[in-house]
Amino acid sequence: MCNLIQQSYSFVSRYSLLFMLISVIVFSSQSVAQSLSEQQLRHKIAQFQVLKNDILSFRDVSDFNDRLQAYDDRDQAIIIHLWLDTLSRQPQLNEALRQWIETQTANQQRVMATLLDHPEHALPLINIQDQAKATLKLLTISQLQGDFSTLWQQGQVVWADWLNNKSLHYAAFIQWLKTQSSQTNEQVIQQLEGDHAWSLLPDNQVYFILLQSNPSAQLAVQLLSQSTDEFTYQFLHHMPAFMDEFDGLSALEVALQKSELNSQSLFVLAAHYTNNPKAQAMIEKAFDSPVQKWHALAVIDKINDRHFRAKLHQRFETQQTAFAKTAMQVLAKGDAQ
Amino acid sequence: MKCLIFFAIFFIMAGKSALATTFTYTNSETNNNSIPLGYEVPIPVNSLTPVDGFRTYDSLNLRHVQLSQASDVVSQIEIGRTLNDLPIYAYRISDDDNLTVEGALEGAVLINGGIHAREWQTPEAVTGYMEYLFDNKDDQYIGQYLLENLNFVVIPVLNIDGFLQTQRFPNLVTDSPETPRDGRMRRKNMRQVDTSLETTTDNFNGVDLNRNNAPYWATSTRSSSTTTSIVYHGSGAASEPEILALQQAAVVTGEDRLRFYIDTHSFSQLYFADYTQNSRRNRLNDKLANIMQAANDFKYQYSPATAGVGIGSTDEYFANTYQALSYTLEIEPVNSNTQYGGTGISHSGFILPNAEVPRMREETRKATMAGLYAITHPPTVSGFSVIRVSDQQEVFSGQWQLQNQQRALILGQNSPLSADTEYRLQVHFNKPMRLLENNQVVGFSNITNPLGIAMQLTGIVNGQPVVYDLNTSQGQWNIEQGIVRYKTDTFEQPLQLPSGFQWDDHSLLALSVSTKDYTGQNLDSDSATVADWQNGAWIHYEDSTGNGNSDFGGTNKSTRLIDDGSSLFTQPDPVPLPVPPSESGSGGAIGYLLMIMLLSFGFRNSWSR
Repeated sequence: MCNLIQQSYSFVSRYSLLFMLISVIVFSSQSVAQSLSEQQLRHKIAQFQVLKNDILSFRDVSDFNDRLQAYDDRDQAIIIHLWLDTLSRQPQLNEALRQWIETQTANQQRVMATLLDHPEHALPLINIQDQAKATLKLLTISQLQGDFSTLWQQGQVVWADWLNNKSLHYAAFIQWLKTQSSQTNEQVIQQLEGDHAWSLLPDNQVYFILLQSNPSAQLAVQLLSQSTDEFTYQFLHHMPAFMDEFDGLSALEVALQKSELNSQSLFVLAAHYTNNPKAQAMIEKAFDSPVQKWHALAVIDKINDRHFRAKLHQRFETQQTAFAKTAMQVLAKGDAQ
Repeated sequence: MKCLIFFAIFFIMAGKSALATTFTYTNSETNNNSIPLGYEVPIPVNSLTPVDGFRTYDSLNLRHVQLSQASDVVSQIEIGRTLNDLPIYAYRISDDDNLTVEGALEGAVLINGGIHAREWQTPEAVTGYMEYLFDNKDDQYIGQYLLENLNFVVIPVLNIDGFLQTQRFPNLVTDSPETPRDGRMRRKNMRQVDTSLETTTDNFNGVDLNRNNAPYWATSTRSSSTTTSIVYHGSGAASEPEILALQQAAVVTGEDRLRFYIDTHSFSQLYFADYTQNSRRNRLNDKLANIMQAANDFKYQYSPATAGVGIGSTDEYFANTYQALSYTLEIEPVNSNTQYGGTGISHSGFILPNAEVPRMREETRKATMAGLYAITHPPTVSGFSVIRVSDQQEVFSGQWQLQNQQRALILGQNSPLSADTEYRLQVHFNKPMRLLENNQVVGFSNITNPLGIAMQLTGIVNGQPVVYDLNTSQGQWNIEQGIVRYKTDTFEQPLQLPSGFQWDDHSLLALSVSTKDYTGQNLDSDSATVADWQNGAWIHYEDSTGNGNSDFGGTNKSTRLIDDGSSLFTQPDPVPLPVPPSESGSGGAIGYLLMIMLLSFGFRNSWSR
């Protein structure tokens, strides 16, 4: 097996330039769009599924070409699509296969479909060039993930190399982090702390991942003190699933101070914590704020603590304002549920 | 009994064999049955206020309710119920009458969102319109102008059952990566569909609500009578309760006043539209599309379709039933998520990355507000005021006021103006006229520049026409001070009449104004008539020759300081008006040159009196 890989590697090394050149010329000159219906594509993909894993046994350029020769351009594009998909899921690839993917980044074959749901606009269902680029990207992320793992085990991670936003290194680190145990993630927290690397984080995703495996009020507050981004919202959304009540409420107390998180925090409070007096106090306080009171009003029908509901009833039934009347209606709606 | 057991086993086996293959959208993880997107898969969150991402249907719905509870400009109307018996709401976003500020009937606009379940961009976009108007209801600018002068109705989510199904499975899909259909990628409504992804027997079912409409229902090969087709058109036109609700929304919006409709979709980044046999309407359809495109520097394309054919879509229904300007807005991206660095997997354009959502909301909001602004009124001169600089006294003023379907110019102060006195002239318009960014007047794409106005006083002295050109380059669009109702509804500039100007010598003295609103619409040339919408086009929107059916507008000379009672459009034009400063600045300099030439060639007498 090793010999085979070595043979193919040496073949490609020798001829890779020529191979790539020929492929670029061949693919660039091919017709760009091959149109078919969505239904036809489904059939074709089902038909070619049996070929999907053949790619893994190919050893040199003639293997690729021999197999494709029997098909027209459109079918070739579908088969290449399936091959790329197969390769994108491999933990490791030999150099021959990687080179083959490289050549596909110049392959402009696309399978266009005038989709019934987009009748005036043909869309590419298969775009070999894009897919090849994405495949390389995914493979590189996977490979870098391995590299990070090695560096981590050797204690040689240089954080600045891995925390550049939008870089594949960062994507690899994130992917690695998601798969780690709570114990390892605790070490990551310690190391980020020790290396003063928190400030290098390009967004809040690392906090979000670490909090899921290692929830703590301190880390949550640290996340909430950063600029709000998509991961801040995702953290609050998922928080009740992994944080205990005490830590969760501490985090929500901080989140309520941020206007952009105010409504979401009240949602979480109302839906998950209203049996806790602290949560009740936070919701009641929101009713004293001209802006927050509307956010609080929207969620009070989610409160399932009977005593607290009764307390709110009492609060609003004595008031004559339009707001209080609306609050009574919302509470009544919740009562009916 | 044996027979029963046999059937039970048979059905269990059949059920097992019908298990659907479920795929999971991931970021870059490549497990079996994963579909990597190249970024984090958006999961909807509960929040009333906008987030970097998508909101759940529950919180969107509560947001709409909250907007209606917290203000008197948003009101909720139940227009129908879904197949699963959930209420479908429309929201009227307007003041509480059906009249414009001056008392004419308001026009009506309907915007629909969430007709296709998987197109999550759309409820966020249309909710963004509601939030913008709610937040800006007292802005003395575009928000307030639209609320006061337009009857605007929004359906945030029409296909609620389908939308909930996609949100139940925000990262799961059946039944192939290339042609995904249920879960996150459900398009149709939930007719004969359960909420489970476990079986394939029903997950292709449902009716495509955008193929369920007259007049072209079931007339195209681009819709289908096969229940499992992605474009199944249903058992008859408007067979689906959601479409009946949409039609009811037109009724509550005001069918006889409806002039503009958008059905909001994703993706392709373009405006589809449908021509009808009405050529004026079609031209205006093109023009309004151009305005909405300009709002984002034409990153959205425009693609109108031939009259007389269709696929059963809702925009065809509104174009043909009401002759409304009608569009299918396909929100970004163009082709796939490679636009955002994604993997480009098939159908990935339906999954906008969380981080792109706020920008998408802002861009669609800008475009749609420009469209609403343009269709509310053509611009016209609504009055003027002359203020003496020395004592800041208003010495002459007039206001066009509605009286029995027509406007009359009601003069306030009317002290004669005199030569060599420094005045300031304020000309008022019926709408905000310029775009503001950070409270500064800015141009609108390639359509209007910040100043863009030419003015003259034209008159008759001893039977001879005279022209006093006004150098508008010294003027400004007022933003804070000196406005009537809205920021930039007033242009103000210095006014000094030449030596020898004698008020009493004039039998006619009129203000001639040539400008455009910020979306490039010319002035209605005659302020006395009230422009309105009828059968897909403007009426009483006069051009410079008095033609009220050209949809083009022109120079407004109807505001007369001294009125000899002559007809507005039969007056001989003594000199062609200086070209309005078009897109590059004031025409003042050219006007002055003309004025000097006229002075030399025969108008000396009138000037020297």
